[in-house]
Amino acid sequence: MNQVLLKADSLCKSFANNGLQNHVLDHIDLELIQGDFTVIMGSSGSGKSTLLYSLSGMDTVTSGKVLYQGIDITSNREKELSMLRRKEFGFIFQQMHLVSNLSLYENVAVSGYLLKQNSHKEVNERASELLDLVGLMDCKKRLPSQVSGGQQQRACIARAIINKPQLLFADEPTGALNKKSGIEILDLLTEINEEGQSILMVTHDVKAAIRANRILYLEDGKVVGDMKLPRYTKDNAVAAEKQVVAWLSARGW
Amino acid sequence: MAILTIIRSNLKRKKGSILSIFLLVFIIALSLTTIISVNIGVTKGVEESCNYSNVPDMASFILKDKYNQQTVEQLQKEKEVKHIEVVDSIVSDYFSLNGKSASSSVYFVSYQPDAHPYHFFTKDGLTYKKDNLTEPKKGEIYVPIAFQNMYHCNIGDTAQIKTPKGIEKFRIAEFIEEPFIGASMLGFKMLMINQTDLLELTNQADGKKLLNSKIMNLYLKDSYKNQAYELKKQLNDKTGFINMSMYTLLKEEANSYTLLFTKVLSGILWAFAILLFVVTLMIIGHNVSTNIEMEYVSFGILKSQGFTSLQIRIILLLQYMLASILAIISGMLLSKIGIVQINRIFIPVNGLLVSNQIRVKESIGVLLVFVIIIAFYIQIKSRKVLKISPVQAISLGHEPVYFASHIDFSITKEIPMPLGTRLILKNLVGNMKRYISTILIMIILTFFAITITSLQQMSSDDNVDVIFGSIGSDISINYSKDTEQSKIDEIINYIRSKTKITKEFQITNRYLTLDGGEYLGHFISDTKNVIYPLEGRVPKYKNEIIVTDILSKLLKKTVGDKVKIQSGSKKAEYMIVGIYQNTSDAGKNFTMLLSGMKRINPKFAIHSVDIGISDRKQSKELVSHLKEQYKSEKDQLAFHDSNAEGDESNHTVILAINAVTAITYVLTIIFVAVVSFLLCHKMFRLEQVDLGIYKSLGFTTKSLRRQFTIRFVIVTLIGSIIGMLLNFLGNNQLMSILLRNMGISHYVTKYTMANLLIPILCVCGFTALFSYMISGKMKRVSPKNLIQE
Repeated sequence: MNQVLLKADSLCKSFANNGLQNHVLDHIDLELIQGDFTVIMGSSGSGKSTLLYSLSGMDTVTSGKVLYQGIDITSNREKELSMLRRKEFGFIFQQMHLVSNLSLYENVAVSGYLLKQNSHKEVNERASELLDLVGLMDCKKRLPSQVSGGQQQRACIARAIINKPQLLFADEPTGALNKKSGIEILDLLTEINEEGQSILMVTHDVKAAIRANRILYLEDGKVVGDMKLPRYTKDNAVAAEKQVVAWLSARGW
Repeated sequence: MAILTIIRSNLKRKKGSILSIFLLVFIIALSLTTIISVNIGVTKGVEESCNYSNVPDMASFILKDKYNQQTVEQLQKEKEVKHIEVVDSIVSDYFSLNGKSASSSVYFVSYQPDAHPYHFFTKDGLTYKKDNLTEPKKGEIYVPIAFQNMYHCNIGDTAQIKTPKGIEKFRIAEFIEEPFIGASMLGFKMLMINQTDLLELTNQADGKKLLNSKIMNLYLKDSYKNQAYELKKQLNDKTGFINMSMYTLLKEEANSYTLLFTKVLSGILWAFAILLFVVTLMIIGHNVSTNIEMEYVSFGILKSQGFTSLQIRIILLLQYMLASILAIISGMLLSKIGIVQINRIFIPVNGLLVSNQIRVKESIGVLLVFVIIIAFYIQIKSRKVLKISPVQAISLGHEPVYFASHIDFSITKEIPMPLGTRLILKNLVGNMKRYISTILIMIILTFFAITITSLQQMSSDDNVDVIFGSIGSDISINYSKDTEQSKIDEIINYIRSKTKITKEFQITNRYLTLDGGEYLGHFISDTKNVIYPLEGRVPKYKNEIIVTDILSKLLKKTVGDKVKIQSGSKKAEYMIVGIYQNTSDAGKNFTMLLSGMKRINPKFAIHSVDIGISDRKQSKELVSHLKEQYKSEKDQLAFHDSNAEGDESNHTVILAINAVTAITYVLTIIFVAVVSFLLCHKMFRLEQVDLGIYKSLGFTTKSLRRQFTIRFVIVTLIGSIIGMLLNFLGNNQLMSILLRNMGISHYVTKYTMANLLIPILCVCGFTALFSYMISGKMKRVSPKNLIQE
């Protein structure tokens, strides 16, 4: 059995608004297994992104614990969280968010330099390798503003995995892309998952969800559904989609 | 109404920026109103005081044996002359107060309040007494208020003069406002004593220690009062009255000396205020541009709702105008504090109590021009608004477009440099255009800070002799006519046995008529190591003179030209052989050899010798020893430590220079703070998303703050170094222009590590401090900000 990578223990997240408490996450318990491609789905405002960022340490929690490799990361200070972000976690945002004045190559490499685990040469080699993997070697010297959204997002994926993180967090990675680019991104994520990369992704797109081997359904701040899926192949895509849609519909999606 | 709504909302959201602009304009308004009010106040003050005290249009100081009643009667008949008043006086070159000897002659006159009333100062020297008609009692003396700082004296202190009978003492009873020659910039002084005391001194007058003299006060008719300068020459040509006098001084000349220091320092502050205004304009321009860049989408939305470009530009204009106008009003109101303080500092310099009134009309006139320039500049900078397309702005936003720069620094280069440093260089090299205005501002602030620091040289340094062109020495020996040369040689040999003598010369000065005008002449026995010509050479022969650059331009004569010099009835021709710098008499003076003076005054002699020594610190000890050794001959021999006396006589000037230096440094620091705030704030807002990304990658707040601060300090340092280099190139010329009225036409800045490093450290240090403080906002930037639900 694969090991538990990340565990949420009675996780709660509330926001105060005009004197009223809004409980976005309500005593969530879950475990993420190493090597899994897990997707979080739910209707708009169900707390999907909030769950993603609470689990990743990007946001604070109101109560409960998030245990990463047995250590509670909710009480981590900035320095410890920074180390987690450098070494253990990778992030892909919906709006790409590449540093505007660094080239694609520099954007990918900067995370490697920051970790200081490998030499400059080794980081450069790895960055080149990843850019080749994501098909961006030809435009590696261009700035983010000089490439398409799909190319930017591919660079983000390369950046996110340069330090071989244990867990990759992706928030609607195809949300700002056209259909063709979206498929390219999903293919890439599928490919790196097949190589062993653990991924936790938020999406509202069923076509994206079927790439995963596990779907968590969120409603009113609780996990109300947990579905396992076979590994994605192009052949079983249609069937998988139907299966997922039926499952989601049964939960009121 | 729509425009007002937007403006109100903008003022709430951008409080920081608007307040910063307010502060900058406030400082300028405060400074300019203060300078204008002080200048006008002191100019009016000297006029009013001269009218009150019935100061003549022209005053001739004449030794009794040279006085010619016929000449006076001839003058009286001239159509331009209203009337002439002749006053008896006693001249002394042996006046001392609190152990300090006067460097120029002192004229004792009796106080005649019905003819020449003077205001009396209260004990604190800050207001007038009500009673000013009381004559001094026997043994009392009234002195100008400038003596307070010149001699560190108070009411009740005792002044002394050497008389043939011994030492005569007078108790200081009042400080008076003597507007004619009472200012510290003028050497000789008129002191008021009791009529009986004056008669007693007159009876003792021996032509050596005390000299009988007359002061001829000439009053012109009202229609000729504006022509005093020309009339002086004309009347002299007709009557030769200047030739019988030791010196003739015009009221307007005296007033210009009285106001000299105030005007010079005001000039420097004016230059500083204008530079600050330029900096403010640059900051406003930068603000407007960045505003438009960052509010691009908002402006697009406004346009889509029907706002025109003109309306949006008016919104921008009114925001800044509101801040500027409020700042001007506040600055003008608060300038009262500055005016009071500066006038107080200048009382012992000018010798006048000046009105602290804020000159509203004149200040508004000047500040209005500034406001118009600001408005015009904002209109130019806001032209970018015309290019905003509503659809493009809303649908695509306006991302800063980065073009592949010809100059780029890649962080992937394999060079041994920390990541933080590489990111700093990357940002600087790739975005240099963005930092241009910051660099320009720092150039200006550093340039001026170095200039102001270099002013300190005028008060404390060896370089002061070079700047002022002083014919200086370390020890001065005055001796009576009948002192034997062997005694003088003995004294000089003693000094030589203790230290190396670098120069030895005799010097004195007198006003002579040169080409019809009256100018100060120095007569010197030996020019070696004493005078350093800027052009040509020093006089070697008795028919040669060297003149200042200012005098040369006044006479419209230069090296190679000839002039006629007259002393009494004798005149002779001299050739100008060189140009030099010397600030005596506001730079209008010349020097000739002693032998040259003997051509027109054969009996002329100098009874003093000046000595320069290699170890200047020994002068105090040597003088003290000589005073002790020759104390039995103190009537024949007088020794002076010229270094100490030089420091003392500059005391008031030093105070004023220090005050100006302090004010400008405070203003510079305030500007650095405001500039840092505005520019860092803008940079921070533009880079906020990038900061969030860096945090999501694992950069800590501490490292990001450090990078941000270092980046800004590097930009400041670049500006400071350029400012320093520009100062090397241009400071001498700038200071020569600003200080020309003082007689300095050839300023030489002595650069030291201190006067370079202090301003640069000040500008860079405070930039680092303020930018680090502002970067604290980064704590609030969270990767969460990158999340888009």
